[in-house]
Amino acid sequence: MGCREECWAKMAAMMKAFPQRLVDLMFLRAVSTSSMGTLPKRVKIVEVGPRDGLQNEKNIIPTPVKIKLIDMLSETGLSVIEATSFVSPKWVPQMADHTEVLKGIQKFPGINYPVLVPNLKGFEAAVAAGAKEVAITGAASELFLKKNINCSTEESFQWFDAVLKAARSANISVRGYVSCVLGCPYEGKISPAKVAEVAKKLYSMGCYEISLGDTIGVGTPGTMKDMLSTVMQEVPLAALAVHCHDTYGQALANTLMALQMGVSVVDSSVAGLGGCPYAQGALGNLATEDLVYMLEGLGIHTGVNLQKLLEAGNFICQALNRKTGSKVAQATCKL
Amino acid sequence: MGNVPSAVKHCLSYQQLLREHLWIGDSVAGALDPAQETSQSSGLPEFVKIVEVGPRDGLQNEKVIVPTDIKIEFINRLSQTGLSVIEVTSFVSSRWVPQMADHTEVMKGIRQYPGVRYPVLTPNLQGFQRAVAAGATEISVFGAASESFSKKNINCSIEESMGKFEEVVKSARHMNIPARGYVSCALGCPYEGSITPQKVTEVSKRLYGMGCYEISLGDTIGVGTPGSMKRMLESVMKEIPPGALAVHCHDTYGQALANILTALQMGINVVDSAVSGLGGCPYAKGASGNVATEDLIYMLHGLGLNTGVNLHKVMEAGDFICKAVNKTTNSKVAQASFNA
Repeated sequence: MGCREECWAKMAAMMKAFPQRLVDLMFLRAVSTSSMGTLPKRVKIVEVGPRDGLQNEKNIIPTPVKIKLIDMLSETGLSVIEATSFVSPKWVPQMADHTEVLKGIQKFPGINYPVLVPNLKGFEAAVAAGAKEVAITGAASELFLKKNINCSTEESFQWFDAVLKAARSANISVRGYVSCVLGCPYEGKISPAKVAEVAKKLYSMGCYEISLGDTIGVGTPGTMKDMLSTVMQEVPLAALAVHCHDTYGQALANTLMALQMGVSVVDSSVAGLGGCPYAQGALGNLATEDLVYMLEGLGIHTGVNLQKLLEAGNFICQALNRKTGSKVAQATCKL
Repeated sequence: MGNVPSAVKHCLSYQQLLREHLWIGDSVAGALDPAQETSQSSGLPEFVKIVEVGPRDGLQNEKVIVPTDIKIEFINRLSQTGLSVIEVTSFVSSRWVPQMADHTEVMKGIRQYPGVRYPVLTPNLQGFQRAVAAGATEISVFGAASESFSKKNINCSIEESMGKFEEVVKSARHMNIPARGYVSCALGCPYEGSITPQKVTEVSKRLYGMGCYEISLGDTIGVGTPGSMKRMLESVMKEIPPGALAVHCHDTYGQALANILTALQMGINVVDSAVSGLGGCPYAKGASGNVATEDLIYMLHGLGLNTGVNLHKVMEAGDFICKAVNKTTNSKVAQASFNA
């Protein structure tokens, strides 16, 4: 506090001496660097490997392997693990065993196991299978919604309304996702105002948290900052999460920017599982190991044991017969 | 996220998507004013100089010995991308770094484009003299912030190495040849573990004091994170002006771009990188090496910062060298774009 006051006093003195433009620049520089000192003390990591990660993997994983992965993740200290998606196997064959997975995993106390639900039918099936938390997906792009789930923004809002009402009656928490927040594979650029509109809708309807997803990983720290500045005016910071894909290698830098702006919930995927269906050969989610490495280095508490996480990542990569997408895992592996 | 249709036929091709985003492609054409606006409002430097170290730091860590003519072709291609500094080779004994055995041929063989500088590494006076004889007009010396690393890497203590560098830098200044100083292990050492910012400052100050125009602070084993980067830079910047500093981040633990962003936020505007993220890490088997120039440019342009570099041309040069060394690129931008 004393340091900041000293800083302002210095600024005031300098303002008298320097031309206005220079002062503006110095002020802005001070602001931009001082924002680095306001990182959250704790970050909640939402592990989406078993769902967002696996659903983008080509090889179909047997149910017992999925269950073992989730059980291993449950022992790492992670407090939220997205287990599966109650979507039709016609669309996402990887998630066909959603009921068996949700019923088969060990549900450790203190850990949430949300599941994605695309419609009311999926929601009901999830509840019947024991789900205590669900996640629903909106998009900041009209075209993406049309191509992905064949409906308009307005129609998607009606669906949100239906599921949130049902969830309220059943005492089930709902997390909202917004896709394409930094760019859309169909529309290209996405305006922060549109993201804010969808996020606000989901939040005001009752989602406890809104995860803002850079679905195709095109974002950079600048676009992340612009988007968050706008969304933060409509949704409280504490209810926001970022979900960065690493398609262009920007995920960790974008996540750092989000943390600097006060976001304290980050989605990631063990071993950086998942591809990107819009860019063949491209990598998908931010790797949880690399995220934890950065957060630990920043002195931010995550509660996650990196070693156990590496073991879970190693397990699933062997099962998938693929190389890890995590650089931390790559560096620590013994060839 | 959400439900993914198995066949995505109607979306924009990646090339189209990239072209339509301001930050991809030629940073000079059309993007200047919006770029200035963004960078000024974010407090980041308006222009970032990229020092391309692929042909030296990148290739020297590659197992496959690359033929001289390929190296020359590679550097010539890089010269046409807008990059203003390309580190060409190292005048080190071929016994230590066989990849750089053809240093003289490479230096003599490349086409030196006007406006582009071609520094070479010179570990000692002998190397310096050879470099000058081969036509070098800029050199670099390589110090370390770790006593153990210095001993294992160049077989002498930090103090002894400073003595050697002083000879080289003095001779260089005498001949009007600019000298750049590197400080390895700035954020951690494979032998000593953590390195104090004070030690990094001490070594940097020595190199700067003897006449190096720029000090490149290297996270040699990529262990740094934004926190340790910030602490180290805060210390060094008390003694050396930010305008004379550069960061050289390895991506061994995936932290490079986040660390570079931190450095930019602190006022650093020179960044080293290697096209295609060439080079492994000799201290961590299987690990990746330098930060990829393509991914760096993507971030910088996305932030609205100017680099003068054409990303597409860099990607083409990267594609060329990866085919030549028969390996997959380490650049995610290249992976996303070329395979689409």
